[in-house]
Amino acid sequence: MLFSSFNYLIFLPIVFGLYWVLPDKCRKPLLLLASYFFYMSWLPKYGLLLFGLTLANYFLGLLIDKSEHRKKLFLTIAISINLGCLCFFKYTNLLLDSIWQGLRGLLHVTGMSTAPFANTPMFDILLPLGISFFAFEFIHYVVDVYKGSSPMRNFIDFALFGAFFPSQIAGPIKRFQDFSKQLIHPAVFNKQEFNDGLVLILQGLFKKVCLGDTLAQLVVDPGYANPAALGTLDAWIVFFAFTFQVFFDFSGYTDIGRGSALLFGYRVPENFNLPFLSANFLEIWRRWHISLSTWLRDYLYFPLGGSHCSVWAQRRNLFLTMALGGLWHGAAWHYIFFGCIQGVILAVTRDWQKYTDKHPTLSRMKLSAWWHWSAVAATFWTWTVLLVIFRAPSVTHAFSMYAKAFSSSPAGEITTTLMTSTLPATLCLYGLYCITCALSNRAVEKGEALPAMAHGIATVWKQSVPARAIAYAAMAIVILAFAPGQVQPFIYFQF
Amino acid sequence: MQKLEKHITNEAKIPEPRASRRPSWRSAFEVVAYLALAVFLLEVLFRIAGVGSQEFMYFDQKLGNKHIPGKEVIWRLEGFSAETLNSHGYRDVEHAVAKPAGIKRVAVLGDSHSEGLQVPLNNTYARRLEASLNGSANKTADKTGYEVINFACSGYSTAQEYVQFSEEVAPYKPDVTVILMHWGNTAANIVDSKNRRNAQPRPYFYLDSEGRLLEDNSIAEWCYKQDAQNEGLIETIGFLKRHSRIYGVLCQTDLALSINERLYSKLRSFIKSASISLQGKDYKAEPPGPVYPPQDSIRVTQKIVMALSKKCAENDSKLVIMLLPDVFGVSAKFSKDLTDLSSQHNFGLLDLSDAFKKHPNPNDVFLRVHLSSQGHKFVADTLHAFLQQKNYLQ
Repeated sequence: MLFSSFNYLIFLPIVFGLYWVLPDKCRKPLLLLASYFFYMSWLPKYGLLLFGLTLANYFLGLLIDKSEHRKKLFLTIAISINLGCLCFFKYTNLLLDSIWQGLRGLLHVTGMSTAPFANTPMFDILLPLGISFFAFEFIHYVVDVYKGSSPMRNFIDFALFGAFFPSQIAGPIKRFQDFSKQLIHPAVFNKQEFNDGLVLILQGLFKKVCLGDTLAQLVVDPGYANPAALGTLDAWIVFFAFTFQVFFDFSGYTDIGRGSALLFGYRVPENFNLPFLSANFLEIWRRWHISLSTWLRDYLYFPLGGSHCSVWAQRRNLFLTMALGGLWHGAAWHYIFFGCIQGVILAVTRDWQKYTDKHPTLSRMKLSAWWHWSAVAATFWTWTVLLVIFRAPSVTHAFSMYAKAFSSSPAGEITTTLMTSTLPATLCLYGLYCITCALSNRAVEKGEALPAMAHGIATVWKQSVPARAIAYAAMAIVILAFAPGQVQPFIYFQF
Repeated sequence: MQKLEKHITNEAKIPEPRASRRPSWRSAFEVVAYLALAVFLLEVLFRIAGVGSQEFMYFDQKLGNKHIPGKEVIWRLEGFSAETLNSHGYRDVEHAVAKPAGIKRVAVLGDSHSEGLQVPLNNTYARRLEASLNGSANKTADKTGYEVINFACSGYSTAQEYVQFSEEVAPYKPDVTVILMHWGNTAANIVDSKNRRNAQPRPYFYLDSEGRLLEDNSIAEWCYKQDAQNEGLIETIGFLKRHSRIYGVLCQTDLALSINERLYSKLRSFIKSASISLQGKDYKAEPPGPVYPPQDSIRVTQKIVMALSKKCAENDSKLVIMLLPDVFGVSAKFSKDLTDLSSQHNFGLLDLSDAFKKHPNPNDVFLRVHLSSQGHKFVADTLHAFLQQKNYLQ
């Protein structure tokens, strides 16, 4: 079930209504049932996979906690089960394809017939939605229990942690310590959380449907489908459009998920923090897909030795972490390539930072505004250019896109399409919304009084239920107005 | 950007108002005032952004539906165009009904493929054909001027085009009448006489036991009578269609959801049935009309084409049936039967599939479903060559 589908529009209010009408003891089971319904509405049999993994991790977590001498064994079993499932469903075909290609190459070089290996045997495996996310949550759980955290003893609570529908399909990757804290006290309906939740859902829908989907349908998909038809300007528009598409798509999804969770009184972690204002790649990974990058840091980078080792080992750790992070995104070589480049850039950035810190002139320059904003621009540009490898179906395809961007071809149709679409108006509207929020937040953070008109609006918003209801309806109509003809699945669903 | 988006109102900073009972008139006034403000702001926003302007049809007793004359249409569902329908409701420039001296006229009839909302008006094949006919006339010092009038309307079936010819096209006295058809048009020419309830209100045709072609306009007539009972509501809807962008957005959403979301269309029909039942009417009631056995849509379509050819001949117009390229290879037999029929009944038949196969960039001819600008150019060029080859405009 897509967050941006009509089915979800029916599903969410029904679950919400039942949740708050039923007595407290029924609420968690209801959320669990709803989460399984949500998951199984796509492919019922994979509900069993989720349930099986939940059962296995629950008991292994308890065994790890209880056991004195075989903790490591149980942890190994738990990690093997989770990674085994993830690898089987996600990477089997990539592995087979790579082996077969290798064999073909080898036979070709040795002059032997490649006929026996002409067709790669492929399994008909459909990737279970969200497996990359809940497998990582389970790994985090068993590792933390192994390190000494108390396991979740209530099975319903644990099952809800694994299946919680607002974060089930594409994260954020939750931490069980934060989630279980919210399960202790009975849920109490909070008007503020309800309003915050609704605003987040509407904001997320706007980002996903009006901006992300429109960029995909008008610019990104046609651009990547036919690089030969692109002009130089078109190619650059397509590059930047994808950067924004993936941000709007994923952060929109996260907003809807966080908003939905808030309606039930739950908080799930934030995943983005102004990533495009990062001044280097180390910073961008602290601001982009935060729950994944912190997971990779805690459960991959640190166990590899982190930064408490030799310089070359640090570089290796960064490289391996990012390469595996790239592989996590999908079973294709271009994702691994993307991850490797990120690893190299992170290692170089760290070395550069150390160098500039030691150099008095450079460290003074680093404090200046122009240095900072140039670094922000350079980081954003490099990020955009690298995302081409991420989006293109293959590395070769990515290079044909680069060839267009660095050639001098006349403008194609994409520029015209973009200018005649609703996208400029939608972006203006979103910009206006961001500026209003920024100014309002700054005034509040500095303790300044809001301008009279803004204060008036805020007071009406606070006091008048009809005003809020009408405003929500108006926001929903705006989303409908700027939505493209067809809703697209979320990009991160495929991971 | 997440931080920027953090709550527009930091409610914690705003003092909690003292709870007091408001008089109900004040609450009602508040609702009306906020509603009016929201409507005003949305209408302004949608006008600036150019959205909600894709509703351009009204119900017509004879034709089922027609374009609203003078309506501005900004089309974004597939491709893009932003133009105003002419004062007669056609997607075309203004044309006088009376034919000027020294002018040869071509009437273009068809559905959304000919209407061409997906491309700017001047890129439609009708406009391109007019330009190319006049261009070649200038080159050869031919004094004849050419006018191509586009009567096409989204969703029109061959049956509607047949009715439209007598109602609207004949007074323009076209020398040639071109209809762009495809296999999909045929199904819309007939209706199951035992299940009219869910059919579109439009004219349908059937063959009686003696093979005569007869019109069944019972559904449109029935809808017309229903509308007459709700005159106020119909007028309001008409007003909203013409002037409200919010209404346009809601209608467009309704259409998109009906097509894409199965649950929505089920809920929609349930609500419709329930509201009819609540009015004390039988929601299963069938519109009254002639009862006839199930019809073969292809046969009925062929009969309509024959009848149309006859009607064109009576009005000194030459009928040309143009078949859209058969991309999916489903209409070979339909095309062959029409070819045979064209020689027997003396109308022109141009199957674009042949020219399409020779097109250097066949992928550029269509957008998702409809013709692209290149596609319209391809149709105009092929039709121009066909008209010249057959000497239909001499």
